[in-house]
Amino acid sequence: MHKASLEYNELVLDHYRNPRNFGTIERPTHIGSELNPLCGDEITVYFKVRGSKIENFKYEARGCALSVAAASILSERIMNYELGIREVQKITKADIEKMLGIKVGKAREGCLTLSLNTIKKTI
Amino acid sequence: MFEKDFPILKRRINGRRLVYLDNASTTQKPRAVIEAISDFYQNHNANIHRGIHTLSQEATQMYEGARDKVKKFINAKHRGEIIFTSGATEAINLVAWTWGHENIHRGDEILLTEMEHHSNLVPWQILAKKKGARLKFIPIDQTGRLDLKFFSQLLTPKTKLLSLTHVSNVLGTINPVEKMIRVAHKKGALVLIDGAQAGGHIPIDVQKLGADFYVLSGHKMYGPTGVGVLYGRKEILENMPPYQSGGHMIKSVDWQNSTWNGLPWKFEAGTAAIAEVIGLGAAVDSLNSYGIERIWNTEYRISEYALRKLCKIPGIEIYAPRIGKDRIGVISFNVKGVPPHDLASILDGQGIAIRTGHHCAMPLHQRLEVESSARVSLAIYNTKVDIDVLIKGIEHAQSIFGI
Repeated sequence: MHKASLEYNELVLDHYRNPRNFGTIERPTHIGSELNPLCGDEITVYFKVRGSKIENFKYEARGCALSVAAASILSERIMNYELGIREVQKITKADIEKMLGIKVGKAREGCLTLSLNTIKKTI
Repeated sequence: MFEKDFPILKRRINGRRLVYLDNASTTQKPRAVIEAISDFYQNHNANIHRGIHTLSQEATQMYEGARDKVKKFINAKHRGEIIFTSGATEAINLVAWTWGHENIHRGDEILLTEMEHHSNLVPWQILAKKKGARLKFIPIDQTGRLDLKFFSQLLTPKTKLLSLTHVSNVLGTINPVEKMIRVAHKKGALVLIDGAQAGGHIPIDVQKLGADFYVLSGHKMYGPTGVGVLYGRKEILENMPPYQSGGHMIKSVDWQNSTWNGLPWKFEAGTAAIAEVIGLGAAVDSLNSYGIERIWNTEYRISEYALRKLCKIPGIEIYAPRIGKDRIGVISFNVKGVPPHDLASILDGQGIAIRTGHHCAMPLHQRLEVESSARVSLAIYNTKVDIDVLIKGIEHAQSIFGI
């Protein structure tokens, strides 16, 4: 039971149920999609970028609670802190764990980092 | 009462007793199998069919002894009809690359079903693309069974091969293959049966079924990984070209030409997985000592109990036939509000191993209109207590997700 409580908390479940910045952008400058064939997690990210500035970021995600929650909290971080491309490229798996207040095992790393990796590859 | 035979079941996972319900992926190994492999390496290790020395002769006898055990286990007519491969996947690929390449031509049709594992789909896709042949699929109905009214429609004079699974690895359905083989033969098609999920769970009699090819996976029937079986009817195998070539599969070789060894060795190029084959022989011995009918009944009883309990969970959707004896202990499902991947993760925290994802059957999941599912699959050592632990685990996952 202690293992589950390390991976799931109220914040994760809240972001899973009510993902922030969910949706698409009209005429995005960058689009990227990724699939995690292991569990069927899927994400598409949409960016409006000017120079090194991210003007808008949205995503559509489908899959497990961890992958959706990670995408949601990343979007909140990017938009609320007005992060630029360089800062986004520096975000790590450990940062997402810190943002969500969880610690995930090896088996779930792919779920947690699917959105981050897709974002980094796209911009 | 079978738990004692399986040393791994003593393991504790995350502080809990291991409840292993992922047997359709691979079964655990009885002590007899583990000891047979270790005994081979400690006392008999040598290459087979080559040496005059004692060890080589012992190894050859043990290896060929395993072939006899498998022959008897599936009631093949000749020992030469049993070919050892690296697994069920290689067995199907062998047929596709040899028989398929010789016999499938432009415009021909290969008939499959909507419930095939990728291993009985992708090799035929590659072959069909190469040859300009067409794949057709027998659909499934609402109960998770093949919709046989479409079968005779889909079977045409162009159908050269019907290739289908004996038991679905997602739905657990046992297909009426004996009847289907008879119908296919009348139309002149050959039939390959994928027995990866049937082996070790239900009785198999290739002569009674009338199968032209039948494939088995060693590690899904209590044997080691890295070994599988291709059964083929002698007349067909004799006319097939070799698959891989090299040592052991030849009779004579000169600089320009070679002649092939007889069956089954023509299809066993290179040094075989000797220890694994011997391990598979030990697994067959174990299966015989448990009794395949007894295994079938025991697993069926537990699966009925599991279905009854699972059905009571609010928000559960089960993708399996619920009544009838034409299913084994494989149950795929989704619990509303708990994504399957998260469910598996939470269950793992309680020592329970299940599988989630698409179980190597992506088209079937599209057909079921779900992204993925959770799957519970039984073996001889599972008990009602395991199911009770599973149900409690699912309820715990629901409580974490606030359901």
